[in-house]
Amino acid sequence: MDVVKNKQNFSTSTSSIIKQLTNDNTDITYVPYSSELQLPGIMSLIENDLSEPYSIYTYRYFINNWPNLCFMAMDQGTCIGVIICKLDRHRDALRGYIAMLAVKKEYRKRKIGTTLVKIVINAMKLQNADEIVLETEYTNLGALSLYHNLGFIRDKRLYRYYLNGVDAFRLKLFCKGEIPIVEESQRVTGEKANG
Amino acid sequence: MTSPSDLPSKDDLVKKTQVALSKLNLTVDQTEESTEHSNSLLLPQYKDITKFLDEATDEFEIGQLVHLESFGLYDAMSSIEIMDPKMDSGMILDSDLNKPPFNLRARLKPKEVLGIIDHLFNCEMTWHSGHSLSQTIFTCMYFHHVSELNQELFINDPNDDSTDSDSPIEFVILVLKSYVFGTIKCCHLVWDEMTKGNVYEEEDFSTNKYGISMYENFPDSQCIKLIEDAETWMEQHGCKWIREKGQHDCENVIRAILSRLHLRKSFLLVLMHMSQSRCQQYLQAQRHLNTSMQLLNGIKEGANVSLSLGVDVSGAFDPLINRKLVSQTPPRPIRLLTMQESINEMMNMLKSINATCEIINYKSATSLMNFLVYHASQQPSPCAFSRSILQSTICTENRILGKMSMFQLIKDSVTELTNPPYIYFASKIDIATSPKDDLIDENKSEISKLVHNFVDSTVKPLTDLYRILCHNRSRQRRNMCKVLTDWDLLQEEAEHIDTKLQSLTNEEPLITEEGPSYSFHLSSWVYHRKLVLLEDILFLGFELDLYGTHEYMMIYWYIDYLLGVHYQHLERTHMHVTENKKSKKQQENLRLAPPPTSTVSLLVSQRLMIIAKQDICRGIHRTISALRKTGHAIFPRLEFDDESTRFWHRFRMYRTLGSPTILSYKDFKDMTQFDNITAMDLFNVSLQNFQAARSSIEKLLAMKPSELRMDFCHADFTKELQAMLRVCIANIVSLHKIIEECKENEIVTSHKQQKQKQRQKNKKSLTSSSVTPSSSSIQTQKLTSLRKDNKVANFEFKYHPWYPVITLK
Repeated sequence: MDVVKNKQNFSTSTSSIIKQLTNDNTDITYVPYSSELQLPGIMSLIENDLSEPYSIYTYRYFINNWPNLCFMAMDQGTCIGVIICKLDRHRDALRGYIAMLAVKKEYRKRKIGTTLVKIVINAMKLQNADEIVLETEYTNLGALSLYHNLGFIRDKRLYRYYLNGVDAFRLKLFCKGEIPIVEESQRVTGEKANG
Repeated sequence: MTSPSDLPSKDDLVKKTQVALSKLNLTVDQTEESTEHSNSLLLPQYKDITKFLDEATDEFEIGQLVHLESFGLYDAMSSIEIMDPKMDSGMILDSDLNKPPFNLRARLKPKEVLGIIDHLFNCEMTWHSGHSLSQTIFTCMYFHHVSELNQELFINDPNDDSTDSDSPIEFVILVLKSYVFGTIKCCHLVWDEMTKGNVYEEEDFSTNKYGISMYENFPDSQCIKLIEDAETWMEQHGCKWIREKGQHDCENVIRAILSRLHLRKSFLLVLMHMSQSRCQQYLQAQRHLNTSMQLLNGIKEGANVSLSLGVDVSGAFDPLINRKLVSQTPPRPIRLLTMQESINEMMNMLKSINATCEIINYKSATSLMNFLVYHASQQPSPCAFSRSILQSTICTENRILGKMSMFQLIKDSVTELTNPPYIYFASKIDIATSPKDDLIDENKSEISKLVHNFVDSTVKPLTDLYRILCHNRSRQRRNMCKVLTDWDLLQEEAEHIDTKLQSLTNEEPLITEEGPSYSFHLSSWVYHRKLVLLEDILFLGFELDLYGTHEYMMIYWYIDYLLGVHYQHLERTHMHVTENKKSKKQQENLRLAPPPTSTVSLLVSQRLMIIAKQDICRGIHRTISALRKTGHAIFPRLEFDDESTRFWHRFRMYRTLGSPTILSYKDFKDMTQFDNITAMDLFNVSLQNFQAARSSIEKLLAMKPSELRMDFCHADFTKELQAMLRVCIANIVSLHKIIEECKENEIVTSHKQQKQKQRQKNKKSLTSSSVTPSSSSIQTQKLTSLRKDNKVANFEFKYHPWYPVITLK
């Protein structure tokens, strides 16, 4: 049995990213997660939004393990947007995973979700992530276009991924450039380029 | 905020938790047990440990979490919060207390029986569509009590104050009972099939029985007898009683009940015959399949009257029964299929099973493969049960269609494409009875050994491929990516074997411009199959909507390349097959097969199909190239996106393969730049590509099913060709329109340009030092002027999921 204490890593680099990304949006502030006291606000925001109800342990799994990959968008004292992530090994890659993203209805269409995602992309890149993935319902056009505009590709389709029987897409962003190939490609003879 | 030092130490907490847990006694006190619950079915026992938990967690600070070292995401997601009604199935809800009581002894009216029958049917089909038993079939209270539905139930009932005018109990103890039993038996046979592991549990289907019996000991045959008894009683007594009641819709009620009983019986018979080993009773199954489809059609046609006849019975279904079952994850509310949807679901299933019964009349390995390819692409996609049945039919215990060996299948498959010398796959007896010549004999047995090695290595990749084609569409693509390496290795091995066979058979190479060329019969077949995989992986990406519009050009360009390689490969194979006809002297010794007309026609059709696909893909990516020049297909730069990185990842699964050569991002850029070609020229060559594709497709449409080896799927094949034809025609029409518009624009532009040039000339003459505008600036000028129409390229996959129609909108 193990007791996990609330880690409070707040790297200065992350705070500078936040500043960089959000200097034009004055009324909304972006803060990293800092205490379990913020959890009820986060949970009520997400529960309103997602089709799958999560138990508090799901939140704790992510937030207690990767507190520095959870960010909130605040309007004064109220949490109106949140992103919850993790980052660990997947096969031979260091894979970032966006578990939850939610923005309160009245605050949508203001790029708050996009900003939250950009903050974590940068935070994950600083931690040397190779790729960032997430799943979203194939019918969730809002999310699909948000991630598409940031350069995520639809890597896989997951059949009946959600319990309501809806397909999902696995979206993926590559953080590292082309992995060098040893052999230089050669044109196959007779390949008709203009046929 | 609490600083870590204020918190109780880790060791301290762990120790306290351990002590507390050791004091926890979870045995339920027998005296507390309530025995008087009317709804005690399946109900677990509970003990209140609130006080214990409160005490144990007293010293915890906010933010602290006690967990096992192994606590992972799955544990977190399947955990529940006690006293949250959404998750805690042990909580007594208001709805539990107000639940309508279920009375097993109720004498049901015919319409009520009909209501239960239809609801149960909806549950059954919803289960088939992928939901759990606990939220579908198991919600039926009559399911759990079906064996109690006997005469005694009513005779000994002190509360039964029925009069003669009440419904006869036979509506319950015969009609309803036999129908419910029939349904249970059907579900059980389906369950048996689904637990073979052919499809993805929880994704395609859910087989968890939560420990509930499906009356496994009640024989299917007895169930058929029971349904027949019910049918007889209905015809002799039930119908009469309903008519005597004389309601206006009595004939509809009678017809509805009888048709449902008949359908249940014949569906059960279908499943019973299908479940026999080695596909032995498929013929009988087909007879009942036809009856089932007719009955189902009858129900469907009379839908407007018969579907609204049923009446709900309070308490007969308990949608919350899953709360009483032990489950891994808290249930989410589901929507049952409607009657109409259930009928469609069943109809699709019956059609699919029927098609499966057809294929045991084996024609050729290629036609079997083609059947699977078209079955796999059906929309709506075939249900999980029919996909499982198909897999079992194709291959169970290395037996194909219940009768054939893998050896025979592989032999046919290779022979149909590359027509190797007869001796390759000759049976051992053939070899043994050949004229005595030790040298030849030794040779022959060596050949046979090598070919058997090849067959042994092919069994797994080939059966995997058959299985993949029976998966759901998303899994098909994912698994195709996974088996690529196996096929690549198989090709390498086959090439080695081919080389050895060359010398053993003294094969004389064909002399071509590029030097001597050997036939490579085995590896040619493998390469062909591998190339189909490579192409389909990319094509399926379109069907599954995996690509953004900005990626289309790259993907079609790559498929174009693969198809080109494939075409050449088949051209080569074709050459060897036809050249072999002029049999050489030594080959005559090896008993050459008769002129392979079927192989030739197959190769002709395959090549036509490939060239048609290639022309379409080429037409598409060139049209996009042209539209980039005109500015109609300019995609905004996406943050964090890098095209070369994306190129690398999109084709990464091809990188490790021995062949074909992987193309690089630089190749892509170089070959799609078209700097010296105008947009207009590109539109015109695209037009030619679509026209060429059109004529190839028309040639294919004129071929016979047997020449194409489309024996089991010629209708689907024709449908696909027609869809491709529509794609070509629509793109031709669209391109003509685009060309027209561009011409008009160009006239305007060139007019303007001339004016501009004139002005510049004037300027130039004034200041001789001024720089002439570069060609690129003219380019952009032209671009913007062409874009004056404010239109953008629009891609619609309206005829075929793989090929769009490109228009300007």
